[in-house]
Amino acid sequence: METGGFHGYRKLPNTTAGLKLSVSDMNMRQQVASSDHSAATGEENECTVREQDRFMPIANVIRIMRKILPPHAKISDDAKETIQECVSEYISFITGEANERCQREQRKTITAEDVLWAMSKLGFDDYIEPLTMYLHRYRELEGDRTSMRGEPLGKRTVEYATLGVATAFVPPPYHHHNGYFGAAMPMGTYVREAPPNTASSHHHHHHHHHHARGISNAHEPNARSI
Amino acid sequence: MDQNQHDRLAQEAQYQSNPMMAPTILPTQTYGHSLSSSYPRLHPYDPQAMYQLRQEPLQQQLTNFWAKKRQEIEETTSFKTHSLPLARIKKIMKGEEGVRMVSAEASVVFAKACEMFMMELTIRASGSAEENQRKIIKKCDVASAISRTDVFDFLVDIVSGHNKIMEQQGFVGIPRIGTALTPTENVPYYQMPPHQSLVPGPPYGSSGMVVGMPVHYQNHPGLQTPTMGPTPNPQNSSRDSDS
Repeated sequence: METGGFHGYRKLPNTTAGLKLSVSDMNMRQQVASSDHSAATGEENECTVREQDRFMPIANVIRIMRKILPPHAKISDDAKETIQECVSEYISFITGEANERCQREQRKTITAEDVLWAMSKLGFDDYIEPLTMYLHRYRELEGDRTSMRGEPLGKRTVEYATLGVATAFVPPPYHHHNGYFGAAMPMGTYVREAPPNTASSHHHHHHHHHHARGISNAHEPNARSI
Repeated sequence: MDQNQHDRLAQEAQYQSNPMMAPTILPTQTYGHSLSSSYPRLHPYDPQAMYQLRQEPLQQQLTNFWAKKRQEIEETTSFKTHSLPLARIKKIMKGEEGVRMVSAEASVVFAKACEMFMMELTIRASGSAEENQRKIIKKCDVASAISRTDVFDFLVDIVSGHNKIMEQQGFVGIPRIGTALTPTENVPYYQMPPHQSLVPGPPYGSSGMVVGMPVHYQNHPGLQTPTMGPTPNPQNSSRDSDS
């Protein structure tokens, strides 16, 4: 088995070439970014230099997986790494959609509402209710701690009310969510709604995804060497 | 239904009559099926009692999972520690082209979202491992979970390399199963029981992996580029033998 794994590593130098292409692409990004913010450029430099920052720490990934599995369950290393890559892709996927909305509305900061909106649009309906609760609870607890946060919270509330789209999207997921659990064929209901959005968004996202894949592949040697 | 059946039979016949041309035909067939699969994917959820029964444990797990998550969130009393580092989340978000600023709340929401995402994916992958009577979750189980869940379509590229390997192994080891499974996503559920009884142990493991592979390909015909050569194949074979 180890020998097989080692052979796998030898194949990865080809991926390294992909990494170089990715780095080149990152350089292009930096040039674009530099015209906006030097700070942004700095951060992207940091992203480029530290490839491991592309993924969540494997220890966190494993801990979360184990929380949901029975004690005797075993997870292969390649499954752990795959989930690790999937979660980064998930963040990029949702962020891309959320950012599009920000740009359409000429805003610079991605907010929690943007993230929730993007998830709803991309079919993650089950996530909306628990995350909305989580966000409200966060504001209750964290908002009280800082008086400064009080004002921003007020502004956010106004912003939230102003964003008709966000308001419109919150109730439907709730309804769908209830239907999901209450309906005799919950999965059927879920699937019927998901395909159109998924297909549309996936088509758009494919371009980004192609780039992301290169980065993901480049990461493998580092992960395995650790 | 008749039309779909006709399509499946035609595709199956095509496969059988030209085994050597299978790799060439595959893209076309996969593409054709991906068009029709959007309908069958919905259809099986209504009349297929067998499918419903088989998926009941998984559905129950997911239902319990979401209920537990809501309760867990209601009981949250501290936001000082998160299951994932917020700085890392922010860094990944900013890696997306055009992203400028990210609010603290967005990172916090993502931390919880990613936790739920990983757990859902893990539950579905463990369901796949159970179907193949394994206690160890493998990459192909994750791939299978992704291929069966529409909302996870954006992840197919991440597992496509592994899928390529599975295809090669499937064709070499059990060409009939490969042929039978490729035309339609429904077939895997009918084929599983007999093979399970006929071929216990490692060979069945291979069968299970084959099941995961064609469904995946059917969904995304465009992914034909081989990312890795035959080398990883022995690695996977040896792992199968060990488990």
